[in-house]
Amino acid sequence: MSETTDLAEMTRRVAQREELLGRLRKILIEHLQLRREVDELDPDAPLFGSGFGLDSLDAVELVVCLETEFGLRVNDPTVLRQSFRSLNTMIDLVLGHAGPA
Amino acid sequence: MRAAVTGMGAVTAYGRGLARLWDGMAAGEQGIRTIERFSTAEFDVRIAGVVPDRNAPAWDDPGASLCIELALGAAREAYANARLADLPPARIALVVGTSLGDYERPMHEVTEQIGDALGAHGPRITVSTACTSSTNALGFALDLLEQGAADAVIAGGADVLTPLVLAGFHRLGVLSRTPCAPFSSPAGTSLGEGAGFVVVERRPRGPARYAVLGYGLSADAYHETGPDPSGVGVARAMRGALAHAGLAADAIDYVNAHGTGTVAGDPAEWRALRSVLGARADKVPVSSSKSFLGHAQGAAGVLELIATLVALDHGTIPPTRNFAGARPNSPPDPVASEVPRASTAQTVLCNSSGFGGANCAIVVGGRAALEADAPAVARRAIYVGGIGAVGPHRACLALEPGPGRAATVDPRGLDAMTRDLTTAAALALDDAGLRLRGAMQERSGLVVGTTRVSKESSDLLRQSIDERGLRQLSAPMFSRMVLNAPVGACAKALALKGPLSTVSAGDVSGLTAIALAAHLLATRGDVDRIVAGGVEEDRRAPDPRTIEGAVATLLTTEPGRGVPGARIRLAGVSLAGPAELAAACEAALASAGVAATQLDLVVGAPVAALAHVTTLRPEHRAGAAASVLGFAMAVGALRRGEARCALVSGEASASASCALVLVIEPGDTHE
Repeated sequence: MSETTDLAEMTRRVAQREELLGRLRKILIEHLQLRREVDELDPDAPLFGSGFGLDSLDAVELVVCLETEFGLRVNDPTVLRQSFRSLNTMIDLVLGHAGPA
Repeated sequence: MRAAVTGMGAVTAYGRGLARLWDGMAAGEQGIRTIERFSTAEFDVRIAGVVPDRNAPAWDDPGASLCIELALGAAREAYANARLADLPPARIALVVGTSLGDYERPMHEVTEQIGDALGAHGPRITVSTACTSSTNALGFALDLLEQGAADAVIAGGADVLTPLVLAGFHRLGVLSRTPCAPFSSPAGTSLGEGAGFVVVERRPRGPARYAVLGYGLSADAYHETGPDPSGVGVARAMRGALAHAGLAADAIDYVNAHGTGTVAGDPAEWRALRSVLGARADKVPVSSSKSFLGHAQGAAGVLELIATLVALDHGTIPPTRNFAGARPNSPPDPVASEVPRASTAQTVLCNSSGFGGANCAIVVGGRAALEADAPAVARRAIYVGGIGAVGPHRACLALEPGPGRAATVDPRGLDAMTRDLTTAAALALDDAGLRLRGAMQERSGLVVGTTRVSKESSDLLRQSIDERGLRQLSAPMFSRMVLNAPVGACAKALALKGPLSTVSAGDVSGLTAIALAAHLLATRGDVDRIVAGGVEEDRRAPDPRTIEGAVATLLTTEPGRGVPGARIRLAGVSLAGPAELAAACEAALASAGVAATQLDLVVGAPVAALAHVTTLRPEHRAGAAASVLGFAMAVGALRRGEARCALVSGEASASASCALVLVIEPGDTHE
């Protein structure tokens, strides 16, 4: 494997994460009325409590959005709790379920 | 005794009338049945306490206004029982508690139509505090009687089960697939519907068997839909009700609980009961009528009260059905049975909690209570501590632009209505120089007048349904379809944990909120200050004069800021029927001890008898916030020394008339 292939693969993964980050930020702003600029939503900030201040109702909405936007049906509360920590952990969830693309 | 119950009427999951309610209970019938009125194919839950003769698909017609039909059924029964036809219609008030009304129309129009049909032409007030609506409505009925605004009040509520309500609760994951089993398993609630009304009078003209002794209101200030798990908010409402009734907790010998059956709700309520009743909580029977009637939403509280009184009439208390072993944190004696239990209970606590963190508890008593005197009421003086406004109203008041703490109102996730209300309330607190710390929060209330839910939020809800289907509706937007959602959110943002309510009376909604708040402050021991005001989201139609924004005032029992060395006192308050503006003005002046000749400012509708006095009108303005704008204009004029005694009035074509008297008082130099 050449370095260029690795680089291309990495670039592709970064682009994929960026694309998902954009979609998830849009969900937070449009569906959950988080009145922030897109780049204000730090991908590592906590979604709930001290971070973006989301609550359990927003969590219900996020579960629906995962299903309607990404075709993901997640019912396991432990998986949800771990995945709803930040935008980055949500991206992990979506990528994990999408399988190795 | 505060008020005697002279009539009752109910339309429930058992059918129509008090007799049917008792027969159903006594026979141990299950009122929760398969929903046939509309398709439930897309849901996992297909049952609810639906009114049986309105369960057929033909009744699923939004034009049928089932809410009004059910309300009239129950209210007419109560009206007839109390022989109200003997009273002048203008002395009969109507307070309707409804969570969702009949959806499309502004809330107060539902109440107005019921009032017209019944011939109740006293003040008509709508209370919309989600699942505490009808309980709160009965509480305000006591206050209207105490103010002398009516000789009899028809109070209660109505709500209808619709596909949207089922979808919303389904989405929240709080419904049980089998008829709900409060305090037991499986966890989850069952929805319901219906209407219940009681007639209360101070001086009963006929035989009465029960008295409403007192009520209490509080805010959880915790979450949009879920209860504060500690139950401290619920406990505040219960203690408020006991104090209002002049009773110790030991007097309670039965509790009809909110008892929805949900994982979050039941334990929170039980913690509250334990903290209020102490060691006796383990011995007092606590049951939930939702186990056979379902959760009738805004009508639930009054229906459960009526079920309780009907059971007491037969020497029994209502059971908790479907009980199959206790869940943790449950009352030890839930009256687990399919049928009522023989009991000599006389003094009952009924509790309701709802979306927006609203709590309302009410205490009723039997014969002994009817004969007892009402607890003495020491009226406290009320002062205007501050005013706040946003939107065009702020410019109109020419207030200095220093938003202070209001700038820190976090707009994340709030719709326009909530943002405006919260900012106006924060400005009013700032204007009064108040920072609410610790125990002050629990003694600070919020009473708001408005007429419709946020258009922004309802559009987003509609959009989520159009795009994803009813089953996948947006839960946060569904939670905002109750009229009190912005009010609950404001209470949470500003930590106002005392009495919380949301009322509607058309264009006098805001003034009505002030009048009701003033009465709470003047007569209750559990509150020291209340932010009262009005809020309206811009809709343009149907009335283009309706202006978006919010206006709020901070009313306090502590002297407020006025012109130097003086303070502004809210000296007189009056609510009257829609065609009774002149009478309302006269009554407000009389309660203030002010002669018409002392007035030097009138704000609102011109009063013929006061044509010579400077009259200000908030021109080209309508809506719930605008009536409060007039109040704020008067406060401004008094502060600037342009007037010393002002009358603020407002009328809404079919809801109510309201008048308030503001006077400058010399400051107390000894303070």
